[in-house]
This record gives sequence, structure tokens and C-alpha cells, in this order.
Amino acid sequence: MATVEYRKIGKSFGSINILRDISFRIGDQQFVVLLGPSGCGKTTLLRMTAGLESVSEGDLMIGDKRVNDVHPRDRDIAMVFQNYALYPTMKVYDNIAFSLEVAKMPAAEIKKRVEHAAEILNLTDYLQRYPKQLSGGQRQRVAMGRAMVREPSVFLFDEPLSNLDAKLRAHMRTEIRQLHNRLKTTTIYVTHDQIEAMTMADTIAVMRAGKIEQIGSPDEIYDHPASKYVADFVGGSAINFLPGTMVAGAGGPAADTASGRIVLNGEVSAKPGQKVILGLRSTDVTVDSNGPIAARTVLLERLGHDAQLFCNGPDGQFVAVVEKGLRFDEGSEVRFAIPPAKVHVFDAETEARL
Amino acid sequence: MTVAQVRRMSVSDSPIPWLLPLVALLLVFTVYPLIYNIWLSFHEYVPRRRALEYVGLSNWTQLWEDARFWQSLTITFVYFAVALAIELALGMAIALLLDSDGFGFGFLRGLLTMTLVIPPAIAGMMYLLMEDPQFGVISYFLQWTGLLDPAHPILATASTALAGVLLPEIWQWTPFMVLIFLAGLRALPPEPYEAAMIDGASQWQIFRRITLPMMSKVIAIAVLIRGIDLFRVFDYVFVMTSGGPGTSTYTLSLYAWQQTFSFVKWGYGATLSLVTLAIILVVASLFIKIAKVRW
Repeated sequence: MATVEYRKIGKSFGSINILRDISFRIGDQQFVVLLGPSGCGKTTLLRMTAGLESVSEGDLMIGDKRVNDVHPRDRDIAMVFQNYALYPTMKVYDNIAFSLEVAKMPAAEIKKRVEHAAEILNLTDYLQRYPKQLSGGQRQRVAMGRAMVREPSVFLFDEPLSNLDAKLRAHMRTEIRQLHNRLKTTTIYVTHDQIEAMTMADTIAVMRAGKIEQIGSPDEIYDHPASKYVADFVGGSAINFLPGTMVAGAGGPAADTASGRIVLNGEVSAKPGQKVILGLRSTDVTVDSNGPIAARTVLLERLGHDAQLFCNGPDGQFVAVVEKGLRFDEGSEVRFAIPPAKVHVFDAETEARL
Repeated sequence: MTVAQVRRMSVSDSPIPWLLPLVALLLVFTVYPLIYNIWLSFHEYVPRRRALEYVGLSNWTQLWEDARFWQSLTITFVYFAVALAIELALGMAIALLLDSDGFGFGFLRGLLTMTLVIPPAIAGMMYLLMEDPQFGVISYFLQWTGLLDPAHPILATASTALAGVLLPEIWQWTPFMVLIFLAGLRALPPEPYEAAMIDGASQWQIFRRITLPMMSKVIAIAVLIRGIDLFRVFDYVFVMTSGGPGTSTYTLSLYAWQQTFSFVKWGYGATLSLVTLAIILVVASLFIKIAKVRW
């Protein structure tokens, strides 16, 4: 069990800065997800934690120890790779046992640990197979078994589910999270999939272009996105961004947009006249004939349990998630409303939350 | 054939027109000589009649009693085993050293092909000069370090002559091994190495448990190609010692050559070369069976 702390971590390849000024602390037993699009540096940060990439600046702490120059094998970590990185010439048993064998653990203890891990991961019947005889999901579990038997103080996952099909991914997601609930090992999990982040994480660190954009619990990130970028990236459904100008309404702050005047939460700290961007999640808007936002329907997309209504408004496309039973004539005008508390307000220039 | 017929064949879906030229070449240059050789092994040239005469199995039975045949077989095996072992070990070691993206390594890897463009007979001549007891650089160096007695020149001493012949062999063909191994090493996936680093394996453990098994297919191919080549060694011994001193470096193909062309015993020469072929076939098939790489 251990904490991981990044103190002003930076990474550059030659003159190119990949990571800048990364500082945050991961508490013991925490499940932290590094979330961001490809190229944002999340995998690099993970590989630096593993010791597979050098740290250009700052201090990387595991527990109380600075590990910048510590060999991967001495960091007491285990890593699950995106493509599993199994040893192709070893059977499943040896793949899982390898780290224990090189550590010269007694054979009986190795057997016990491998069989225990295989049982947890449903691999008992496959121990004598080679990796290439396994399906993607099974290989994934072997990779996890290999990490588990070492009983490391930190687990590192590098997009471990991205090569699996959607159904298996959802299944493995819960398995990994259950495993964490059972083992309680500090975990850093890298993904670009915001659903994985929302469902698995205790804490999400949203990354953008080599920097941490926001750190918080999934609810915090979703309900109070620190920037337009975070609001856009996190959340399963589309979000509408409407540019507007703050006005001092009678009932509290409001913003004028081309689509109409939208009343905002009283806590918004913007001054009248300030240029803002309003973020309206498609799941938060409702069809309301008295609503302030007007748009013309373009297409209704059925998603099974509900439907996505694409409209054309003065600010371009406007998307709302509506009941699937509703009928709309193409090109007809629909009005939408949204509760003031659900409107996210960002500064038009800095794109930071107001 | 008319133009129309040729055109029809050249657009045919049938594989036969495409295979015919190759089949013809194989028939003329491989199948026919092989069958002729087998036929020849049951005959012998009789000089006074200037004709081949049927001798039945006598060429084959003669093998069993021919001490020179058994001696040349032993020499060939020693040559084969020593050269293969050294070329494998040295080839792998050099390949591991050159498996780097660092500056200049590409140039070094290119340099390796240099020995391979020299005809083996020329390489043999070079080493013949270098091992010359009067002015050869290798002899000079060995005498200077005291490892070589000037009274016993390398190639003129029965106990060292084979080693002298092995030198150009190993010098010329180790780079070939290096090239094959490098091609294999460069194509290995990097992920298992990262996993092994995290798993705590030492460099030796990584080589032993990850690199070597992953290279087993490549190594098997290298052993096969070089093994066959080594077994029919001719150039170096022919150029450097012609089998001497005495018969101490007579390999199987050299002995077959001598019987055929010096002694004009065409039938026995054919028998000897057929035995060489049979041994290569058996050993190679056994090797392929044993070395079957499972993963």
C-alpha cells in the first residue's frame, strides 16, 4: 500500500514539452483515472510512474521515497499494458509466475499465488495455454493476473480495455473495479474513455495538452467542470455551447444568447456585459413550449431507451435528449428549457468556469 | 505455338504455364543429375575399356570397409559442430551488441555484409597467406605470444590444420549469423521487455527467458541454413590444405571430389556424394522435428 505524489513533474523529448508542471497526490488505496484525449501525455505520465520513461523535471514520490532514478523493478509497482505485453513463448502459468520466479520465491508459494489469481480471474482452465490461444479478454485477464500475484503497492493500468469489444469492456470495467474493492491497492488507470473514468474512479484527473485541467471526484467533474474543455470531454452525451453576454435580470443573473435569454444560477460570479459561453448538457434540457431556447428540428436519433433530437438554432447545432415517444415534424420549431442550476457558465476568453 | 496460343496461356488461370519453366529447370539441373547419380552409384568407370560397367552394390558395400570414408565423415562432423557452435554463440553476442538505435550502429550493421561478398575460395587464399609460417600475420602473432611453435606451422600440422581451415569459415560466416539474428532481434516486440523490466528480471534472465525463446524460430532457420552449408564444406579445405597434411582435413565432399576427378572413380564418387546428401537430409529432418517451435 502506498501513496503516489507528483511534484512539479515535467517531461520533454528534446525541445518538445510533453508534460508541464504536474502536481498532485494520490492517496493510499485510491483509484485514480488519468483521463484525456490521445496525445495529452497521460500514458507518458503513467510510464514515468512505472520507470519506463525518465523524469525530466520535478520529483516523483512513491510512498515517502523519491523514485525518479529508481529502476522499475525496485518501485514495487505492477503494470497492465494496453496490448497486454504477455510473454508469447510462455504458457499462461509462467506468464503469471514469471515475476515471482525471478524473485526466487519458493515454488510452492508461487503455485499458490498463481492458482489463487487464476481462480479470481477465471483462468484456471487456461493455465497451460499459450497467449496466442486465448481471446482478447482472456489475455487481458492474464495481464491482470501477472500484475496481481506480485502484490505490488501500486497498480498501473494503461488503457487496458481499449482493445476489447464494447460488451466485454463493460464487463471488465466492473471486474477491475471489484478487484480494486477487494485488494484495495492504490491504482492509477489511464484511459481516453470518459465512461470508464466516470464508472471506475474515486478521483479523475482530466488532462489536456500535457497539463492537468481538473482533479476531482466523478460527480465534481461532471457537475462542476472547471472549464469548457472538461465539460465537453466528460459526460456520455453531447453538450451544447452557446456564446452569450451577461445581463442583470430581475430574478438574478442571466445571459443573452442568440437563441434566447437564459436565466442562470445566482452563484455565477460574472458581471453584466461580460462575454460568456454557456454549457447546456443535452440530457439537462427539456422540451418546453415556454422555454427560452428556440431551434428547428433536423433529425431524431433513437437510442433505445430515449432519443437524441438534433436541431438547428441561431448558434448552430443544438442537441437535446428527449423521450423516445415524442414526434417532431422535420423543420418545425421546438422550444427548450433548462433549470438555472444546470447551466455551466464559462468565460468566453479563458474558457474557465465562472 | 502460335501467337494466339501463347497469349491464351499468358492470361490463363491455370498454374501450369507459370510452373512449366521452373519445372523444366528443376528437371534438367536437379532431378536428372540426382537420378543419374543414383544410377552412377551402381556402376564404375573402367579405364582400360573407357566405359562404365555395372558393379551392383559393390560401391555401397565398399563404404563400410573404407577407413578414409569414416575418417572424412568424422572430420566433416567435427568441422560442422565446431563452426556451427562458434558461429551461433559469436553471432548472437555480436547481434545483441549491435541491436541499438544509437549513432553509427546502422553503419556497423551495414559493414557486416562485407565478408559475405568475398568468394569463399578467395577468403581461403587470404587466410592461407595469413597463416603462412614465414610471413603470415596470424602465424606471426601466435608465434609472438608463444601459442604457436614455429616448427609446427598451422596448416602443415595435423592437429592444428583443421582449426586453421575453420578460421576463414568462422570469419566469413559469423556475420551472416549476425545479420539473421539482427533481423530477428530488430523485429521483436518491445512490450514484453518493458513488462519484464517491471517484473524485476535481470538482463541475463531477460535474455534467457524472453529473448532466446522469442528468437528460437530465427535460430532454428540459421542453424538449418548454416548446418547444410557447413556439411558440404569444400572451398576452404580445397584451397588451403587440399585435405592435408596427410588426410587430416579431408572432408566428405573433398573426398568425393578426389575419388571422382583425381581417381576417376565416378561410381564411388557418386556414392559418396549421395551419402552426404542422405546424411544432410536425415539430420536436417530430425532437427526440424526436434526444434519444432511450439509457441
